[in-house]
Amino acid sequence: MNTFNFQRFRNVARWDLTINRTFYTRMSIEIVSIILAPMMMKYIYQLWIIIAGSGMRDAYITANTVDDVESLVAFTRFLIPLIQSVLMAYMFHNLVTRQGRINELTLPATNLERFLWHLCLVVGGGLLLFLCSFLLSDLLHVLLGWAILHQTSFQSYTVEMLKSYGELIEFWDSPGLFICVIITALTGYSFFALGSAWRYRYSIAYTMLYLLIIWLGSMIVMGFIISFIASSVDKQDFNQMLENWSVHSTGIIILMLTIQTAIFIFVWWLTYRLYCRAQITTRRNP
Amino acid sequence: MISLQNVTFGYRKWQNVLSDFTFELKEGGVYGLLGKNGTGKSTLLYLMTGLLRPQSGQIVIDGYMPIERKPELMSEIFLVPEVYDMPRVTLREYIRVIKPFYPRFSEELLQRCMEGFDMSPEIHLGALSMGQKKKVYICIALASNTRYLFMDEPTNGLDILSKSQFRRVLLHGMTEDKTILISTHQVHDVEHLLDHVTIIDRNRVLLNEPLVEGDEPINLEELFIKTTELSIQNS
Repeated sequence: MNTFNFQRFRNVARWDLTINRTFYTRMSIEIVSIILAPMMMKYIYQLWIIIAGSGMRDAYITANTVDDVESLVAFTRFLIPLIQSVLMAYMFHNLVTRQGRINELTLPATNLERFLWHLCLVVGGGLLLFLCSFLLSDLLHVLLGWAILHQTSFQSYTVEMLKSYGELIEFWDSPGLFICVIITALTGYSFFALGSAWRYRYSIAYTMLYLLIIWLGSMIVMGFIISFIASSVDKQDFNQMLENWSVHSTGIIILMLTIQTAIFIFVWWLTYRLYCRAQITTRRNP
Repeated sequence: MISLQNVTFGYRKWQNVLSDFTFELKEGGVYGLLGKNGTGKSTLLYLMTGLLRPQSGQIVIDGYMPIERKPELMSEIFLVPEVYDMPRVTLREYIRVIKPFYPRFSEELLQRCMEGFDMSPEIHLGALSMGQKKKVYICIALASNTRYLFMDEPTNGLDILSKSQFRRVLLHGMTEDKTILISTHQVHDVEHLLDHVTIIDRNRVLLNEPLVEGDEPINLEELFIKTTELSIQNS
């Protein structure tokens, strides 16, 4: 049997984008607004200063030139993982209502085609939205900067954002550790997709709750393991052992990479399995 | 052909809606699926469309298992649920995106069905009343020309005129290779449509007979009461 047909995949995409047009439009506007909000706030604040006392304008412009965009970029970089997690938690939003489940699950396309479309949408759609938001921020920055502060030279928000991610790569001197950090971040997002396949309603809240429980549980287990090791060797040996266990040692990196990759693959395998086994009603998803 | 072999299903553990249920449905004709409340009529439709997974037993439609949701089978099945919502798009837009999934989709049939319900195809699905949504959904289901069409209480929420229109529309949309299974309590609304009647209880088929019209019209309500009373006496 043909499990993936590109024409059918395109039809699924067209179908989903059409029947959920209102939902996607609203969500896109919300995300773009969230990313634009700091920039808007900055200009509203500047406008307020100008209105409050015209004499302060020149002093303000002098004090806020280069660092302005950088602080906004830093704030947006903090927002993006949060927004991406929310997007992942909406991966199976079609399954929230009973009618949505009927539409989605009886659609003549394979599970793989539908699943891949949802994945492409939350990942690709998210990246596209971020890029559009940065470009729109640049446009706003130019327009408002010129109109309010009479600025003629501007720092590009998009370029600064891309540069900041470039610096992130340089920060990790070991490529193995960098890959490990990337996989850890991707696994974090994957948990939200898994949560979306596990419980359709309030999936963000449930996922965060489950993650908190898992985190607490693993902290307790780690605590026990460390205290067990510490009690079984003498203090000097334990300190020596910790020194040897540098995160830069190849063995530790390989171990971390293996564990993270295994978790990542397991999470996606489970997400796909749950999606394939979705039903119109279950005790978990009435 | 639809075949259910020893199917057991329950929404909760130890509380089965269907127990060891065996049932066969041959291709072609309009089937009426009757049964008391809670006997599993809607559950049966959901199982046959792959929306529920049986705990045990096997469901096979034309050699495919519905729970696998293979496009080859799903493009031959259409379910009209009892309650549903429509996307906020125009009918034209909706048809444009679902048509590629149903190879024999007929816009001409859709037009005729809509006319049969006194409705224009130039409508926005988000602005329809419950009854209108139902009529549009029935039209789309018939126009999809799938071999199997399952309807769960299709006349619920329709006014008297619309019920009569529903019967006409269904007959217009019916072809020899189509199998329509109507699960309903409103026996009077469908009794002149049915070629075959199936009355079910939790774990057995009480009656599965073709309706042969003689001189006297068939009274489905009477038939249903007689069959269920007889089954109670026997058990």
